[in-house]
Amino acid sequence: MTAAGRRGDAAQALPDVGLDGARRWHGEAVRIADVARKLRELRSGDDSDVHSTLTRVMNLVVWAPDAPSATDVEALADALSTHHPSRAVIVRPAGGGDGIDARVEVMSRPDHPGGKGLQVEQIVLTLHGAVASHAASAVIPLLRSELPTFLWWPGAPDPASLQFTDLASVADRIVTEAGRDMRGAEAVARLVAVVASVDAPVTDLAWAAISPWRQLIATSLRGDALLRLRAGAARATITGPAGEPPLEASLLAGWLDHVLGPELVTSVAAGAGHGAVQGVRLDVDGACLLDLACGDSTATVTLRTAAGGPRCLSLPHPDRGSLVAGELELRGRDESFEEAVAAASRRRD
Amino acid sequence: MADQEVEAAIDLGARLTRSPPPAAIVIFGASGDLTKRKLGPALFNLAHQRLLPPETAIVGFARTTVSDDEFRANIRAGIDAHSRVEVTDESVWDGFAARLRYMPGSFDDPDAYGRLAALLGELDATMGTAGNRLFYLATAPEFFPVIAANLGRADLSREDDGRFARIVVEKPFGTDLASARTLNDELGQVFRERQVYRIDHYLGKETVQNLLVFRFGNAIFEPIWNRRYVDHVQITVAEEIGVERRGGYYDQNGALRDIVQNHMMQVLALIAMEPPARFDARDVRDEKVKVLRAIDSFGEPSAAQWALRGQYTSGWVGGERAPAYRQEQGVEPASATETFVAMRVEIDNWRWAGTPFYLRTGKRLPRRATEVAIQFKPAPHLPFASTAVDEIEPNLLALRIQPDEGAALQFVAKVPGPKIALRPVNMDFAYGTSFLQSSPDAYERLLLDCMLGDATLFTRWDEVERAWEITDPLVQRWRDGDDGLALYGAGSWGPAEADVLLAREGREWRRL
Repeated sequence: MTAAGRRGDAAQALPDVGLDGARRWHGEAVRIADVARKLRELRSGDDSDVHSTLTRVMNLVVWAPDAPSATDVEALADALSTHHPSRAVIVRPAGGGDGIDARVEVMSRPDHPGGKGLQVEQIVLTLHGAVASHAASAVIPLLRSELPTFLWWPGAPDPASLQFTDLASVADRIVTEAGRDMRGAEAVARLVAVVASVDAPVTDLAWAAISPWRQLIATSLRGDALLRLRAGAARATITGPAGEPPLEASLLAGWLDHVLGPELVTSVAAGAGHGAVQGVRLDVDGACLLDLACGDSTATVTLRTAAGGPRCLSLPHPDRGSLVAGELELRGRDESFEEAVAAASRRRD
Repeated sequence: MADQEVEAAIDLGARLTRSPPPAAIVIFGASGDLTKRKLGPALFNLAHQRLLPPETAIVGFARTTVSDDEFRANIRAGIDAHSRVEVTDESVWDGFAARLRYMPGSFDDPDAYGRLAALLGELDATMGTAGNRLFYLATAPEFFPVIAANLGRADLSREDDGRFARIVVEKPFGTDLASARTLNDELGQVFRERQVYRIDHYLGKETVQNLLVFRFGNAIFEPIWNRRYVDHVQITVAEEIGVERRGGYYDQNGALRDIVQNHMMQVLALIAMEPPARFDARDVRDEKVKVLRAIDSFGEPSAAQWALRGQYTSGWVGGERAPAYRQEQGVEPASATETFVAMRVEIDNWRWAGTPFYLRTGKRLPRRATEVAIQFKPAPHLPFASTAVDEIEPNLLALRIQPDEGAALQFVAKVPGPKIALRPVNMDFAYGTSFLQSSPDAYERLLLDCMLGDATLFTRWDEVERAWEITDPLVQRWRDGDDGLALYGAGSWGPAEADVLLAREGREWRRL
């Protein structure tokens, strides 16, 4: 469809109210001003008997590069709204001429049992043609100016691409998932480039995913154990799947490099289990100081230390939505993450 | 009871606290855009709310020759397109339309004013307009003097026997200080100051009026509304649109004359002024003039250091390509007219000494937003060991004038969890979800106030003059081309030089 044809065939549906009480509207070849106006109409058109409070704590901008990922992120963004009520703007590039299609949804969510409803908003913009590289111009008018803006990029963004840099310019914090597209040194190098290319703080879900491992290591290395590790010839071995290590393993290795000092020798080895990280072992002077290993079940980990026998601990594996939710709690720079990424990029396995 | 007491009792019983006397409203330039988009719908809405006495007549006066019925049809088209209240009952429209009359005539033809006087006399007799006149000049400013002079010659400016004659003029009031003084002198030869109502439609906006209510109706804000607690203030008037069909007009004026000298100076005055003793025209406007007098005019060093102008080049706005300003219809290809202004203003008084006010306005910015942001100083000490002081965002009060009208107060709260982690949160008030009734259009309020003789929301001559005195040096400087024009891409927040203006003092513009 040509650009002229697309612009001339604007079709706009009347709002409808779903069985779930959500008020929806969609339009093709629309102007952003129309989308903003429809959003206001849907917000003020709540004629239910339940008084709804419009609550938002953030703007959430999500890049959905294709239809399957768009479906995924829409569902996740909807789930996130239960504890991060937001105005979510999901951006999808598409071919087929120039122009913007839009879908707007204003939904009510219960906040407390038996309490009042909260309204949250979701806007899906399908950007056809050149506007996909200028998505910020379409997104900015839809954001609430008094709220922080998070950009969630469910993949490894290309810092040289206009699509990424354009949207990154509107964000107060950026959450990536580089490990969905890359592994090993390539993934680490990409993260280094992304962090350097933008002003906003960047984090990655792989970093959030290894939080339980970092917490276990931090609580296990206390007092004498830490002193021995820093004083002797220390070695860290991270076990993961065969082949190029997943980003989680690379970041964990980088973190250990950074916190335990440049004398630490780290390596990532293939294991027989499941999961991006299957175990961490710290040796000093040839003797095992700490060994964390998943068994058949990845829900628990067995801890062995020089000081004591095996103990079974729970190892939470937050789902993708929970990981994103955790990152949306934070605003500032995560210096530990940035240092871990830098250290990981310097590693030579 | 005396007549006035009876009237007041009736009004009180009918909950009519602001009922004006009947009048003949004459709109000069009635065939123009302002009448269609604003004045016609505003008058209809006032009538719909029973705020316009049934005896009020509306006379359109313009050079175009149309009949009464054609004029009514034009007004109806404007109402259908732009009114916040739809015509749901044709009999209501018929009643309103019966008040509309049209008189073709040239602004500089004395005979036309004689005919107008005769028509107004007829309306007094047949409709009961009671000899009250309201002359609305919805014309280009160049016609203001000739219209005023002819009204004087036709004896239409005289007030006697309790009847009023008022003239309403739109901004811009002059194009610089000298022309503003000349215009005021010309109007002053026919009308007294109390008869002149200078419109700045921003003052008619609910959210602008709410600035005063917010400040002086709530005890908690006044004690911190000063240099001790406020780090700086940002006032932003951002437009996403270009010049659209107004290229020819805009190219002769620019952002400084179109927005800064009037709207922004008014908002600045309301934010910075001292509390008036009474909310009436004299006291409120006295305080506005007082604070404007505490602002230095831009001299040679300050104009170079603390004010800049810009012009947009092509880019993307609202998901659409936007041409450069110089490519817009009606704009000179080599135009040096500014579409963006940023400046730093300091108010030399006890309340604000040392606290900068940063103003910015521009066309083709990423979004439409008019806002006042009061940035408070950071907490002097934070007892939370795990969070450094400089990581905490200081409190901020954002007063949104348009769109999403309302206010938001930003403060920090503890993030649930085992440690002390702080995160900014917002306490938000939105007009749209707090009140059932929609806000009236600014012109509804202003027309009503003018008919009531309440000039509180209109600018007095000394306010206008002082605003020109502050900005006129920039007008002269930029007219002579002494300062560079900083270019910015459409869809950006302005030229990089505007960021430097704040960065020099360790600050940055709010991203809206």
